[in-house]
Amino acid sequence: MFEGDWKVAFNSPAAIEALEFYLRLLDYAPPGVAEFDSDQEGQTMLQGNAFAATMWTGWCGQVDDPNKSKVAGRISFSVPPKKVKQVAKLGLFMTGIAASAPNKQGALEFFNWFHSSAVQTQFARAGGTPCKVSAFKDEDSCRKSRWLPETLKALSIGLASPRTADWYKIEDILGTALNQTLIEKGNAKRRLDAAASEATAFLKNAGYSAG
Amino acid sequence: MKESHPTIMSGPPGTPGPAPGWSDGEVNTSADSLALIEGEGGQAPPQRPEVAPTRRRRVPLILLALLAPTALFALALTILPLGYAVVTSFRSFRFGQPVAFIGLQNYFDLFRDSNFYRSLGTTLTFTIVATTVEFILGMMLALLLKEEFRWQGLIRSCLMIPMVVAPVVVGIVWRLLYSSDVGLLSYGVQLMMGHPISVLSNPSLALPAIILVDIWEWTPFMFLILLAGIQSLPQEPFEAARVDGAGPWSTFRYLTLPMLRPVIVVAVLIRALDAFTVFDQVFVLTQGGPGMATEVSTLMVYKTAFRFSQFGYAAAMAVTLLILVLFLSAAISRSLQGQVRQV
Repeated sequence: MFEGDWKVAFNSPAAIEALEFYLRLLDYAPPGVAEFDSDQEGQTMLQGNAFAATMWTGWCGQVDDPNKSKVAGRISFSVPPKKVKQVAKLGLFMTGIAASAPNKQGALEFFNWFHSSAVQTQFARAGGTPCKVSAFKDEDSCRKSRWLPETLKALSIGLASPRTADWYKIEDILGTALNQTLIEKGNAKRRLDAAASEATAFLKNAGYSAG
Repeated sequence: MKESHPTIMSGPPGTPGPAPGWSDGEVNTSADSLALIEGEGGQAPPQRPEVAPTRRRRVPLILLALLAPTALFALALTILPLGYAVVTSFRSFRFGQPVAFIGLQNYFDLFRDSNFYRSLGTTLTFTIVATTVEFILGMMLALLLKEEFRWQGLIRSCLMIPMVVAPVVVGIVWRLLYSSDVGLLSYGVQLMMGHPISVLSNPSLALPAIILVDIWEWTPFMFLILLAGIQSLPQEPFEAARVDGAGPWSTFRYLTLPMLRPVIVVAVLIRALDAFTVFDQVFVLTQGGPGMATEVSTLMVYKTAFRFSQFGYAAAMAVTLLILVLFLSAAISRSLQGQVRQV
């Protein structure tokens, strides 16, 4: 995504090649995939209309429910395949205490309690996605939520996007460019170059060196 | 026909000339309203009757006292937030906090921002097309349904339904209709042409699709206002036109349209301003996509403020849009009034 000093790298030759490969997969995608949000991606999988999708763990709880899935019990889970290096994109949920909170110490104690291994194990057994490795490895949790072992593998090879205050603008610029290539079914280099140029200008304006 | 308009518009039917109570000679006319009439007329002030000084001072004080709560209310709810938005537009923000006063820099950046001009073009296209079609359809429906007939109440009530549904619900319903995998539209196209259609992922179709939703939802509003306007018109000119042998088109062109002028101006203004600030339908249907094909200005302001945390830049955008809206409303009002005067 970035090289040193926030130099934008998502129009590198490797990135362009990866996007061109991704666009070739469009031949196997359901119609209208460019308009899909994550809910529609999940629904398409549950309808049995797609072979594979990159999904977030919060969605996984529906896959074995025959009331929600036409292919209950027939979806399996795996980390993304690799050509050179296996990487899973991580999303993050963050907790924090507001400066205006009337009882900061109480909030901190609650966080410590909630994030303890014992409570996280109970949380995982109830169907939640935990934040402790011990809870991921709990046999009872893994029996109920069979995607947990693969999720733990994804965590071990995961790469999180930089969650700085300016990331959301970069994500918007890059997301728009990727969406445009999906619509046009091509133009990977042109769109990524334009996005990199716009992102670089934005970062420089925001005070980054950006190469 | 033209000469009769001032008579019709200046007072109630059958009362040609200035309305009663507005003549210069009225002794009970207050000093303020008298001055207003003289100013508009541009004539020399006539001799005013002697009024006791205490009475002349007391009237404005009472007026001020009566207006004060409303003025304070308006100040607190309208002027202060607006002023805060203007002040915010002169600042830069970091992590949601103002960090520096940067003067007009946000405005300079905005005027160099090609995305802003693109979103403005999308907004104007949306506003012009949606308002024009809604006006034409609303007028046609109003002319069709102005006469009494059986089932009239039921038909009017049915026409009102889209207008009373929450815009977000409207967006969700149409998103399902447009959906390329489970949508009714795509299913129909597949039956007829053998392949499904992806409306919202096609940059050429996405904006017309959103405009269609707006037309579906807000044509009843235009119809309602125009129908009320048509039904409140005096019947004498129409009867006279009928006697003179005027056809339906001539009656509409030379009577209905000019006499409906104030109603048309208000209806078009309200819809145009509402369309210019459209947000919910776009947010639910496309979130500005595909690419940036449907990113209207309000959505850009929202994203800039609440996703990118650039509150100063978003405020500069909002202030600029406010100025544009004022110009737009003045232009529409003048254009419509001018057109009808030429009639």
